[in-house]
Amino acid sequence: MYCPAQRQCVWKGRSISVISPPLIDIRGLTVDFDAGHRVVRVLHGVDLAIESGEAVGLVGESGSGKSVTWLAALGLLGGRARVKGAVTFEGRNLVGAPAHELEAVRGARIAMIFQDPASSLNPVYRIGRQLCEALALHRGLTGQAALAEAARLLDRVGIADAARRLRDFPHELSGGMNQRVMIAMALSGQPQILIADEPTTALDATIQAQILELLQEIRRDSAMALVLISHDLGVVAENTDRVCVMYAGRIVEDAPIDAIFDRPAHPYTSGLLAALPELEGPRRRLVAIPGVVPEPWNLPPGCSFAPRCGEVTAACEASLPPTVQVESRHRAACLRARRPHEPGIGA
Amino acid sequence: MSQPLLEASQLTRHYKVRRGGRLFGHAATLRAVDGVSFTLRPGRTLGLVGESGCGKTTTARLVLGLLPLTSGEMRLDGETLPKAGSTRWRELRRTVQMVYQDPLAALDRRIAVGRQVMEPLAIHGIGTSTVERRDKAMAILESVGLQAHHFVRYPHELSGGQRQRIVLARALILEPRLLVCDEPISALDVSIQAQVVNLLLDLQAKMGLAYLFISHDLRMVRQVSHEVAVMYLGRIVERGDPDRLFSAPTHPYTQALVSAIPVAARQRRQRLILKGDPPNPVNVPTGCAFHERCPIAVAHCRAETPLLRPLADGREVACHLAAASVGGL
Amino acid sequence: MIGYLAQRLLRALLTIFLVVTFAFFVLRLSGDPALLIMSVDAPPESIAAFRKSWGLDQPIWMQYLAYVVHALTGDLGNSMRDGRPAIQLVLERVPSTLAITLPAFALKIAIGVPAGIYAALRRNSFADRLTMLFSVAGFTMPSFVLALLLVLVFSVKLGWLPSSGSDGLANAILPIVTLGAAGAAILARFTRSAMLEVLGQPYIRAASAKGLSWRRVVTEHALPNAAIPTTTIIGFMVGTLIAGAVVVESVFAWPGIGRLLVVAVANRDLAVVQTILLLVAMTMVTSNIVVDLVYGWIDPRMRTAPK
Repeated sequence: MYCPAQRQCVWKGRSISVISPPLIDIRGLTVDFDAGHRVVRVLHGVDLAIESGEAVGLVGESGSGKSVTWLAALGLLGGRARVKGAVTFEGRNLVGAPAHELEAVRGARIAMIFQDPASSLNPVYRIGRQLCEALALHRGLTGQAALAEAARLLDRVGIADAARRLRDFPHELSGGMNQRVMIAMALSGQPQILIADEPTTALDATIQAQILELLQEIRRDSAMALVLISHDLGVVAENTDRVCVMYAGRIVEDAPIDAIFDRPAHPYTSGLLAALPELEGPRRRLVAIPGVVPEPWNLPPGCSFAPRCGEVTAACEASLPPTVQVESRHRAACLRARRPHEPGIGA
Repeated sequence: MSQPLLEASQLTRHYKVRRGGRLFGHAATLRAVDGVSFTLRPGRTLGLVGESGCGKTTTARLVLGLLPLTSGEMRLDGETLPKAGSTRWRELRRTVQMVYQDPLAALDRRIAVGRQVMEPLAIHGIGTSTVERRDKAMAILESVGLQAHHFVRYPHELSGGQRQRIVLARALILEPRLLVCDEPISALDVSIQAQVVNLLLDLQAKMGLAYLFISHDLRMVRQVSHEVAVMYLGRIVERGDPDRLFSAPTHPYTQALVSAIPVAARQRRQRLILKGDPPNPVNVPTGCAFHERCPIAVAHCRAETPLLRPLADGREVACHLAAASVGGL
Repeated sequence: MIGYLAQRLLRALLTIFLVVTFAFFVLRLSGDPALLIMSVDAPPESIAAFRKSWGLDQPIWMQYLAYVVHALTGDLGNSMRDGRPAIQLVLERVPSTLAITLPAFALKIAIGVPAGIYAALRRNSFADRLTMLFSVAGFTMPSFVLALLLVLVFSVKLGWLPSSGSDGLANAILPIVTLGAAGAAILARFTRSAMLEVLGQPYIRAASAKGLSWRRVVTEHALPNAAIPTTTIIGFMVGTLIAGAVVVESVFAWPGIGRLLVVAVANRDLAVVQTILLLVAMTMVTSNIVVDLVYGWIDPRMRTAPK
């Protein structure tokens, strides 16, 4: 289980240690999709807590549940999804919350940006109108005040000639510019958390660098928490403090960046690292992870990674491995994961 | 060194487009590929990198003969490629095959994959009987790491990696000597990419295939290539040995491209971030096409288009300043 | 913009010219009006006289040239049956046709569009399936079958409405419903799929993620986008206002353009058929231009190219 941060506080003249609750606390989140002829579970009890101002990366392959976790938390999955578990945010559980409560959180407290910026903006409205819509919703701004603030936001996200750009339609802007507009829109509500769902996957390398730089800069200024969802370990490593690795609907490892690279505890994490080529140093043959990700309706009974794992034991196939604390801020869902000083099986 | 398999010289592909809106624009020229030359030898890989719109996919289509050249010439085994559609062209064309980015789109979802692998044999009239063709298809399936039971499956029953192996098998069954791979692994999950890349390398070692490998993933390009060419707005701006090119890029654009790669380690570097988007290929700036985004451009860059010039270490770069700074020939 | 309009108008005129030319030759090559209008056993000299008086004895290209020259001066020829100017005969029937096609058009939109939107929003629900069942029934059933069915129920069994004629408002109801039902069915299906397509777009989820209520997401973000393809089909329906009621007018004996056309074709009343075809071509072409303009107005992507 994740341990919330302990903080020193002064209370009645004495220094005491209190446990402040995390900004958002996801517990046992499950998602089932009703596909008509069967119900498929795509998220199998995700526990994830995020502190104020923290930058957390969510890494995993397609279908691992990294986007679904946040869409489910915000109630954005639509009617075919059944969401269970708890998402505690500002003292309330968002799972099953009434529509108006969720609407008050979305965009205003927790903002989200998406993979394909060009199609995340409505093609029939001007950029300005879409920004003003968000400003009216979150800050009650209308008319000239909204336009002025919209221009300020565009300027903030590095769009030159902001006042003129407000009159542009999304198709008149490049992908990178549209993602900047999406970020400006996300900032309009001054959110506590920004969920960036593969924000640069659809963009070219040099544009990706621009957008990631912008996100870093905004975070430095605003103390906003960032959840960066990506399939690219490199992107996450450079932009967050902590990584959660997801596989087949579960978090299999959660650790600070350094720990993930220096001492990965889950074989899937080490497999991913070995499968990545490097840009410098001698070229070595890539170590591929054999096999394929199991389909969500066809998961093995024990550990989902067992069929592809090089260190698999009979126990792995028998039952789900519990999540164990490897170090103070490092947890992994693997039977072989042990504290480094413990004489573990895989040490 | 072995004889060149493919010699492409001054490949050019221009499009006539209308500028200024759909309704009543004036004609303009889009220079998708503007004088690209390269040589590919058997068993070697040329990696082509660059951002969208730089002309790398158009180059691939030109090499495959899917697009006519505006100007330029291609020679296969020293023989100038004749007019598209002629018998000789068809014969030569068989030695160049394609692996696509999206295997699901490249396959017919209503036909069992084994039959799709056999199909090119029938089209080219190779093999006399179905049995013979089937045996050949089975052998190819095995060589790409699939089993006999995959023969009767349909594309949707296979995983992304398996589908890409089918696409590969279909290309290989004609015993090509050059494979054009346009983003062959971008649609695959990270854990599968390594499988496919390793397979490509093994096939190359076994069959002596040449690859034209197009990708936006510089790390993968370095992994597979013997030579890398960086394209910007239809031209090659830097070319050379992948290790040298990526560890010490000389063209400012290559530098930015390399610096933009997120590295899966914590060694955070000072990043070179370019301003703005690549210009529209209809409206290529005068002089060096990169000068508007270039951090070190001088007045001369605006006036004169730099040509690819060899550096002392065997690399070639098209930059007025890079050549000087490295002390080019 | 002016250039674009001029170009569109030129293309429209060309289309109309081709339709008229095609109709002219097909009509003259497919039957002899003299034999149809005079009786077959009329004396050969009176047939020859008839031909001469209508210019049918001239070579066909001469006839065509004469027709075009006259048409350009506004003279579309006279009816061979009663000698009155064809244009007059046709225009007389326009109000009568519009009296059923316009209300039917309103009915199509009033029922088809909301039904399609509703079905899309309640996708796969019972209501959606029911709507689509009616929709499939509506556009697969030939209009004369539906017409006869309605007559059977409302005229024969219940005796509420007249089965034919044009004496009053009650006579118009069944033709309007027949026309409207088929159009509404097509429109419902079209609107539904347009709406489903839009609801699956990333900007819909992004609008929800922004904090907009679902109602506002649908009305302010989904509907304007779904309107773009739906406009095309509605525009096409405008084009059928004049000539889309041929079958229905015949079944209900409604004295509109459609019935005039049927009679004129049967009689090889050349000038009348050509005038009707000209009118139809003009409405079609006009509605197409209007659709294009509306398209440009609701879809900014049609107005400007990316910079």
